[in-house]
Amino acid sequence: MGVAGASVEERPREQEAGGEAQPVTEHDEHEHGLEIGQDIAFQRRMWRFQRAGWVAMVVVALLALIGLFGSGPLSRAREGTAGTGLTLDYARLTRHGAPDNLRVHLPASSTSQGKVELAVDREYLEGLRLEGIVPEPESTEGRPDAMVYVFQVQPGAPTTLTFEFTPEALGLRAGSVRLKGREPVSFTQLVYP
Amino acid sequence: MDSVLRAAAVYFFLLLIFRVAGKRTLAEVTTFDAVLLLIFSEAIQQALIDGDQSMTNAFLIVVTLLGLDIAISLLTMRSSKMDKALNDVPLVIVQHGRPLEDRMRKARVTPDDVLERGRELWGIRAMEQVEYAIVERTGAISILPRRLDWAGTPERRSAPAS
Repeated sequence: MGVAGASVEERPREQEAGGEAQPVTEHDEHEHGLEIGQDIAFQRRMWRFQRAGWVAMVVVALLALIGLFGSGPLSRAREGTAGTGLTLDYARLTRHGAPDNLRVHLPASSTSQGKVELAVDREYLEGLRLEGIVPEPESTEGRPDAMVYVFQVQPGAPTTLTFEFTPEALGLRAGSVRLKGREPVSFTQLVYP
Repeated sequence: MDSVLRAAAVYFFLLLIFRVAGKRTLAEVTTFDAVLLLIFSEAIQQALIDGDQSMTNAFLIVVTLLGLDIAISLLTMRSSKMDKALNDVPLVIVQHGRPLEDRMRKARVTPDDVLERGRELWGIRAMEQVEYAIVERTGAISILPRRLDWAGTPERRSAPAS
């Protein structure tokens, strides 16, 4: 009784001879009056596209984990040689509107006078919203090509100056910082939208 | 200008990502799916408005999103290629009571899904009673039962035809 549907099938089955493996063509379905726009070739392409898309999603997530899209191990970089008197720790890859910072590490040799004068490329500063500098500079001076910050530091002790900001301009941004009387340190930053 | 570009970027990103996810992904929205959708909207919202709380911005975003939606629907009406690419195609997964296993697996539909739908729609008990099951373009499964008479379910037509 329960399987009544199976026993009253009177229409001969075209597929039976071919067995399970026989592919069902569009023609086959039209024969039975099934008017749908099935397109197996397209469907298979779409499945392949979707599979590729899933793999791409995993790859994107993994790349994001290592910091390719900012905020990860790959996104930070250091720059600075002996001649510059500082080491710059900055984000190589960062994002529009996401908190970011720039750290200037000063070795003991750079702080011997108790006062540090740091010039930051003006064009670079215009592409971001500066939110704070730690420690606060004693004075700020605007020059045509740079902002010059003067910091009070403990003489002869290494220290770090931190600029907190959020990037506003998009794309590749070049910047440079320089200690008074030393060579500048240049760096490039990629800001994702 | 920003609002339009942002809205367009979000629109096309979502279009792509939901095509990649496949039509079955959100065909039947479970409680958890509903929660996921809420989280998506929260995540996207920030990027969409970008701190601009003005009404102008909100209106521009709505106009852009709706405009794109209409443009896309006009495009899919004119070109069947675009229609397939964006709206997908239906797929037969059960034929004459026989599940087409390879297709079902690829379309991420189980025989249980088909039977569940068959029970809901036609009171179907077994796969043999399904003439065709089709994954529609929306991702929903439609069921065509075998030779159903108007009196009721397939189970009742026990009298032989000839």
